[in-house]
Amino acid sequence: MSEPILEMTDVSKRYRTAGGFGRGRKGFLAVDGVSLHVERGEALGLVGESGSGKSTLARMANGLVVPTSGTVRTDGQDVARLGRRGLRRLRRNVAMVFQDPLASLNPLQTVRQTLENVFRAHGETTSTAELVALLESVGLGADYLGRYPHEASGGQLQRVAVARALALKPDLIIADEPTSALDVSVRAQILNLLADLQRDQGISFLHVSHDLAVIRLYSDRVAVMQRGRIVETGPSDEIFRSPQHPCTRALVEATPEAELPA
Amino acid sequence: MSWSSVSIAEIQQAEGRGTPVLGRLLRKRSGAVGLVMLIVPLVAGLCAPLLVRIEGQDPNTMHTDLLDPDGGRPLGAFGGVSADHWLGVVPVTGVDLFAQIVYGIRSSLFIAFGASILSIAFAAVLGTAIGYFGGWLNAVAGRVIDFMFGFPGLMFVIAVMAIVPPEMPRGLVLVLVLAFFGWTVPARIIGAQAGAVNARAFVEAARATGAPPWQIIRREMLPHLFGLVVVLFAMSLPGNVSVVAGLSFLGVGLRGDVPDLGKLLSDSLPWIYSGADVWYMIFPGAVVFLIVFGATLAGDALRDVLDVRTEDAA
Repeated sequence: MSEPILEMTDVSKRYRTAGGFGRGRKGFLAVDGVSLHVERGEALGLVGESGSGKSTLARMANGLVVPTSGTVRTDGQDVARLGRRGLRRLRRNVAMVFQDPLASLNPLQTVRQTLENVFRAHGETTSTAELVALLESVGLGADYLGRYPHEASGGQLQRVAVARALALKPDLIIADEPTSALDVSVRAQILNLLADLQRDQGISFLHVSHDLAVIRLYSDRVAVMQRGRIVETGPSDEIFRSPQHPCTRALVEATPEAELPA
Repeated sequence: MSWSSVSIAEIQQAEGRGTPVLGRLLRKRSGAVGLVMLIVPLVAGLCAPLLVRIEGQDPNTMHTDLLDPDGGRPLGAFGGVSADHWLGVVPVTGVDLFAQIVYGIRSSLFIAFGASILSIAFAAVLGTAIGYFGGWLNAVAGRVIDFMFGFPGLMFVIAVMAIVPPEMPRGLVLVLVLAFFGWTVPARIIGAQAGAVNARAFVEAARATGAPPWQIIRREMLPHLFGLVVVLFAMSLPGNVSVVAGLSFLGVGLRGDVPDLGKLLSDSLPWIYSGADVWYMIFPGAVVFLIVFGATLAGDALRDVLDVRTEDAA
């Protein structure tokens, strides 16, 4: 079996809190000794309540957050040892989709500029035909190239954000709550799009969400986080059927019975 | 491949918002008006020798025959306006006011523009760096700016200008000295704004694509700071014009025989207090007003035009 696309070993992140002495000076431990891995081609769902450290943990995979201790190996490389250029090269292979597309897309750039900048970041140029093909792969027409973010809906924008993530043909996509800022009606569309990408292109996913129903349908495995620790991991169905940890049970019970349309 | 080269050409055509920035600026009423208000005095200043020759005057000849021998106020209406002297003459000396003003625009605007360009450019570079790198740079630059705030700048300028050797060009020294004290407030404002932009999600998203620092600054941050820089520039112009005026008033500005709008204004003060010749202040004052108001209008319109979200709200 090949090496996991992402392997985190005993990672912690302590945020220093501004000012203060005594207890305040120790800072806030957002991630506390977590180990997890994502196999190639696998979709791992990371669930937890807000403030449980799941976004911080996800951002360690591409070096946006530097862990206080522990090691992160992404795509076979120790992220802490990469240096600036190595980190930029890593981010070719590890793309990211953020929560709110209206915030994560520059309001002053057209879709074309946003996509072109991804190629420019790695000294590459691209053709209109390639960009059109990229948009088509996320279900958008060529007419979106000239649009600004305020000229498209949230669901369409999140497709643009997915196109940006796909531009450099990554092996791993970190999706940080990719649907929680969207209308319920378009959530399923975006989730289906991500699931298709995993199945058809073999892209691995680290899918962060607070919604276990979403995770259950679109992840192979689930890791449940609470207060900076992973309290339970296992295959999605199993976690859903017989949750062991009280936190998981609470999340499962909070999930509405009705399932998302597939 | 389901698209032909024709459709790609169509896509590119449909994308182009066509009109360049200047065209859109001129189509906005406030932009066009502001630009005209700014450019007319500017051109007049640039063409000062030509205009004065057309008028048939020069900025130094004293026309004492046009003055009231008792008190020295200009004879005739509007401060002595006539076909020979388009804006009348200066009281007491009788020199041509139009010539004084157009030559004054030259020196005043050269100094104000020079100082504003230098100080705002430096503030933009430093502020952007503060916003992007934060950390120790923010701390160090912040303390330096605090120090500059506490420093008696005007006293320093007066002292420097008083000891400038006569062979040095006073205009250039003024530009440098004004720029030296002009960058602090804009740098702090730009730094705060750049920090806010740096914290926005699309900057993190760009970082996550592997964009190098320069690309993030150039493509993601600067477009969001441009409007602020333009407005700060427009706002710093009138301040510099008035400081030059004040220094001239104190006798440490430009040389006494160099025409200067600020000097004209300060010289005119007693004449407007007594009401003897209000036109002496109104004409140069109107020119300063045009420049300052025009710069503000044009700067504001330019910011709107450059922001795609307000582009269509003209």
